[in-house]
Amino acid sequence: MKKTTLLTILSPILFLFIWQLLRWFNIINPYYIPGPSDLIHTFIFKLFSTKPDGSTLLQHTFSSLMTSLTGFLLAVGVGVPLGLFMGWKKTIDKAVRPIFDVFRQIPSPSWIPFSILWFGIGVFQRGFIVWQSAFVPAVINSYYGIRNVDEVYVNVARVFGFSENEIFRKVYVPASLPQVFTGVVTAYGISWFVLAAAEMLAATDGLAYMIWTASRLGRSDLIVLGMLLIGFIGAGLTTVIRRVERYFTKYETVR
Amino acid sequence: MISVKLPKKDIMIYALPIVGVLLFWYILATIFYSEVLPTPLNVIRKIGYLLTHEVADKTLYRHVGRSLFRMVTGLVIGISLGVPLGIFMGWNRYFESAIKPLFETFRMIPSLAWIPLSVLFFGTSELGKIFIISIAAFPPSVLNSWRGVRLVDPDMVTAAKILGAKDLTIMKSVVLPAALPSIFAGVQYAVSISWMCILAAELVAAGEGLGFLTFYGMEIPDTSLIAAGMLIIGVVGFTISQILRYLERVIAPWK
Amino acid sequence: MSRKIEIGNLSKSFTSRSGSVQVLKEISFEVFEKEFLVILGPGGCGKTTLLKIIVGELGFDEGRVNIRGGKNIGFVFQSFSIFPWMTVHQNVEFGLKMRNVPEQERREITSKYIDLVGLKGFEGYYPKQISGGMKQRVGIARMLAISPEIMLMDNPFGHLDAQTKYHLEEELLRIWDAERKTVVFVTNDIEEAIFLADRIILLSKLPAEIKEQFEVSFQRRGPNGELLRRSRTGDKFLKLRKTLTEVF
Repeated sequence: MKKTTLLTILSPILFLFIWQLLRWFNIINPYYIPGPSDLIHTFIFKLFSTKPDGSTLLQHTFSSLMTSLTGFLLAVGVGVPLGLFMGWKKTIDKAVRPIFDVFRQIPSPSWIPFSILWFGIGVFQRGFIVWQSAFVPAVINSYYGIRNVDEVYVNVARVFGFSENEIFRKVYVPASLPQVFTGVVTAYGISWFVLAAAEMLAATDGLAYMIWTASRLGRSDLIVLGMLLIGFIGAGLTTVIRRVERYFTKYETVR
Repeated sequence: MISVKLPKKDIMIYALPIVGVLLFWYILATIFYSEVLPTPLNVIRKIGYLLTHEVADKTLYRHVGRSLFRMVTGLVIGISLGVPLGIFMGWNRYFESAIKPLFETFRMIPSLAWIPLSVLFFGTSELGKIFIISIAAFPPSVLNSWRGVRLVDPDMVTAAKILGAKDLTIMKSVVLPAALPSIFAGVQYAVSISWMCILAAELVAAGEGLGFLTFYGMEIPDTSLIAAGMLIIGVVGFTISQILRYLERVIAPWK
Repeated sequence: MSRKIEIGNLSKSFTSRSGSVQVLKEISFEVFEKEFLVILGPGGCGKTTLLKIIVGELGFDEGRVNIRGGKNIGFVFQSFSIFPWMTVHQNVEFGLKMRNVPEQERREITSKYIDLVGLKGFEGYYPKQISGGMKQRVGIARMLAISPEIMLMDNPFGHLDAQTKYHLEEELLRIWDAERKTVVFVTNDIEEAIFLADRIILLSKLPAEIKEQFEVSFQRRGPNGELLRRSRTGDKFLKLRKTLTEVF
């Protein structure tokens, strides 16, 4: 086995080992930092227990996933076509862009207060925040995806007699897909991030809500468990999106 | 974004949609949703008020300054830890293999998810917020420095070796300057993430700051204050990114 | 003429996840002092690998590489690889700085070589401000500045347009004659090879072996030993070109 692969496998094992040792000898205070064994124990316990925050781990995870996925899918569903059209037709671009540029500057978390005022605390409100934060990168990347399509492809299609609409569907859109997916991945990252803020401010369940409550109750084991889960799920979904991307962009674009 | 040198006609066309939206906003706010939507005029009046009066016992400048202070301090810490780590990871394959799994795990946890832990450790003190920002600034700094070093043209390194440079000199005179644009891109990304973070962090728990101001507006509720806060946040954020873009030209004029 | 470089039975393979590729197969040849040797071969056939082995940047599996005299070797890259954050002057001066040459002497030598490659007046310019041909001249000047006895050149004009290429080929010969160096020049351009070479070594495709060697002695030196400019349309030139094209 190559030395580098060995190191990649050994280092986390070594890390966990040292961490557990520190915990066993009580060098680190379990109130502040749980050990790996605590985490496993809490994980198994929390899977089906509603203590201490009212929902099981599965319920929390489900809630966060649902909120983020709905908001995300809606954002992509509206944002990507909008960005594509903006990139394609100058008129739409000119009409929408200025408004968009202004919206870009306002960071997503600052929409939270208004969202609570308008929609009250609830799933819809959180979904709105997620939607808002995923919307911007989805549009921007789709827009640039279209703009950066090599004119050569378009001209070739024109020579072959394709109508403008066909050119849009068959040349512009496929060519812009890699960039669109970059936008989708970014959108997802931001939405997952913002959801954490929204859940911590005003929610009744969700993974981030769970860790926020756990903090109030001094349960560092729940906190770290939640953090790791949030991380894993986020990373897992990003991988899924990347797989989807690879499926859609199986052709090689000649640059 | 628009460049400053546009002819008058283009500026007017650009502003047109914005004016349209403002009108639409005004109508919505006065006729339909006056409780939950401030009118544009009220927002402007509020900004004027903020510039001259105190809110929550502090002036606007104090709030902005506090947010900026937290952000800059956190950035400095996150970047000074992240950039050297990234550089070393790019330079040494073994180090990279060992650290990579740990870093990737760390990275997948959204920075806001650290808030509960930070509250547990630091309560609602300044240190807690600076801690969050440092965590947020760390991964992009590492990533971009890492990539910057990895992508240095190997022929340039070979040329330096042939010309007689020793390892340390190569690092200092070749690798670092070559990686600088990438490192700076990482810094820019770290700054934008930190700006988003500081608001979310302040929304959750603070006594002063721009995010807090917006949150305070939500508590009262004072819709004009919320909107004014959002606008100011947008303006400050925009200014910061412009300053950075200017700095980029100063630091790496050869690009 | 004495031997400057001796390559004996050199073999080199690269291993990757998809298997092992043999790049060089039992290559043996000599390079004589002060000659202009051209190694000609199709693209991607290991010519760069060969040069990098000679300069010590890459290892090899079998065989030997002997270099007479100092280990001071200059290397000019196909993609220029000059430092974009340094001016022309700073680029050329770099090697001298590494050798702790005192400042006054450094300045003199740097000026000399900047003039020699025809870049006088451009000392303060950054690479992004100058053309490809000029960038490569910087690449040549910085290597000349460290006074190597051997210059290895890896298809240095490959990324340049035809006009610039012709021009620089002539300049290169002039510099070679003035500085009296041993040059090993790698290319895949037949015409360029014939124009420049005292001797051409023809390499095959992967795995690279030596196919043939050609002495190119026409129109090199005049009656007084001065450097001549070969005619690209002369009989001898075209004849050799035909031969090479057929064997290539």
